[in-house]
Amino acid sequence: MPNPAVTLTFDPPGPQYAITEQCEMPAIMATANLQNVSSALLNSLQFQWSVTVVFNSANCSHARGRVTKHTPISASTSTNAFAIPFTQVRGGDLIVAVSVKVGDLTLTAQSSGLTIVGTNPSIAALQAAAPASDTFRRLTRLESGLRQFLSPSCPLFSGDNLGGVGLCQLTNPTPTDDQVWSWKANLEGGTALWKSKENTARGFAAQMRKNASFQTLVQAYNSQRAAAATAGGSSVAAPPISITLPDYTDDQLQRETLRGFNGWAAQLHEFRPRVDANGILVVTVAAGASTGTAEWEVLTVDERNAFYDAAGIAANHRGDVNYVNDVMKKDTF
Amino acid sequence: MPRYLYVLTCDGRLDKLDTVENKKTASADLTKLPGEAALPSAEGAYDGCLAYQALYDADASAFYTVAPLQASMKENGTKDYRVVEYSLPQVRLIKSTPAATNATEPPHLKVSNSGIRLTPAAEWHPPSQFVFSGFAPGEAAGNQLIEASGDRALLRLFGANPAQVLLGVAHTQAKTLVRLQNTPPTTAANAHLAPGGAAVLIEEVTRSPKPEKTGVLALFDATTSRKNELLNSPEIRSQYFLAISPNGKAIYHSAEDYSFVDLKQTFSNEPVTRPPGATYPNIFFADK
Repeated sequence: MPNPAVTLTFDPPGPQYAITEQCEMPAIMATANLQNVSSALLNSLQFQWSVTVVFNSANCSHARGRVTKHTPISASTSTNAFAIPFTQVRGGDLIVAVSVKVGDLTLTAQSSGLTIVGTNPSIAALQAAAPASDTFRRLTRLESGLRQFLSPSCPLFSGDNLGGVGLCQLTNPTPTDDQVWSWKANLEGGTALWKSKENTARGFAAQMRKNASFQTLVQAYNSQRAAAATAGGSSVAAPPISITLPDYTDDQLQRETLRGFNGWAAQLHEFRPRVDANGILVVTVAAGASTGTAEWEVLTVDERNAFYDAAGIAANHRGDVNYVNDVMKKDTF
Repeated sequence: MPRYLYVLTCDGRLDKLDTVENKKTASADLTKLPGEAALPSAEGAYDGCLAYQALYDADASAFYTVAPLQASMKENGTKDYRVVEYSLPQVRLIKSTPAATNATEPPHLKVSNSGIRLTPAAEWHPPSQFVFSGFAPGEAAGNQLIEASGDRALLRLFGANPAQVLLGVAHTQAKTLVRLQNTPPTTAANAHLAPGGAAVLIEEVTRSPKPEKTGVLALFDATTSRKNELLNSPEIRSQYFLAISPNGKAIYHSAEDYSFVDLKQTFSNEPVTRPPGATYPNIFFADK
């Protein structure tokens, strides 16, 4: 009788399996096919299975050597069929190995050339999963073109070679393996970052009101106002007025949040209190009122670059100075 | 007389300038020092600065800065901070000490003979206005403190026309206010006190449509209000003022480039302080 042997077949046969659009791992049935084994032994056999999914990014642009792995799977079955029980969303090289002891012999087989690849979400899937914010959706389009994957076998890594990845190009903190392979996990990470930045942006006006530099502007405004009144012949001293810096409007909040998403590098925000050419705070005061309202102004790209030049910030540490405008030009979905 | 100016930028770069040779002689990225990195990386998005303040301790041949532990804010919008000490002139990490946790702004650091002292940002209230205590009655009450050094404070004074920037130097010992006369058109941000406060450097600006430097520099005596020097340095039009060195160089920069203008006068070693809000990198002079 010829020597016993075992071979592996798969259903579906592969060699390429796709993570579904809904970020579910493919259903794969592995079958160990015994040859030249007495049928009397078949009911007493135990099949030992091991499965690995390893992504080695050597062939993917900008991946910086990123490696992801599915937690190794080990299982034992009394039949020759094995539905691979994936517990994580991972792509890469799929290796399935089986061993089975037949009498004194241990028969083994291992797959080769199998891969698990990614699937980009459709617009419909994104519409169902993404937060309703048009600004966030525009941001996603700018960051990734609404792609999680550059090609089926390569996640979309950021062109700046900083390890950013996926739909939201999550970069810092280092994206998890889930965020590399699941666009839903990536979207969740981006949404959490967006909400965190939005909360911070919402508090910025209150923070600025207490800031020493704003208090200096208020003091200078009142000093100038008093000096002008005195020079104008007023016999009554102009008392200091109380100046309110308003909260952001909804539109301003969205823009400030976008700026934060790209990083408030060097503490430079999207807006600052407006001053005139003489460095005096621009304040609207109603006739006879003892209070006034300052206003926000958006910094232009030239002003942002001038700020960074004056602060000595290297060109590659400024973030994208045109980020907010670039995002707002994108279409929502 | 300290010869070297160290410039510590918000993104963690430390440049060393030789004010005699008029050039940058060294540069270190504190986020990439070998061994334990005390500053987070500036690669990718980051919030705020990676280094706040730079305070020199000549006795220890070291300087201190306040650095966040995180490049980006934590989910709650705060960061943790530590005080980091580096040796000079070989830039090496000496010590890193926790300074604040879950803070929306970095604490303010002060270094004295008795050690370092930290003040939470919310409790630090630097003066933005000079108080004319003990001065002759009628001296300008409303003013804006621009810079201070030694016993002098450079002030913006206010008059009827806000477009006309009025400058004065208050002498805290003599209790006098010297109003600078016949100054070129300028802004408060373009007037600078020399170390010790003996002189005021004024950058001439055009006023329309927005202030732009002409390259003309006027140096005024802070005691007599006389104009001592009038220089024309076209190269500074596109650069930003950084500091005046004790050996009399006005130092300008843009990003990582520097230039030096000889003011033909020397000054004391007293540091110049500025109220918060001005867009300057952190600086200190050192003799090594």
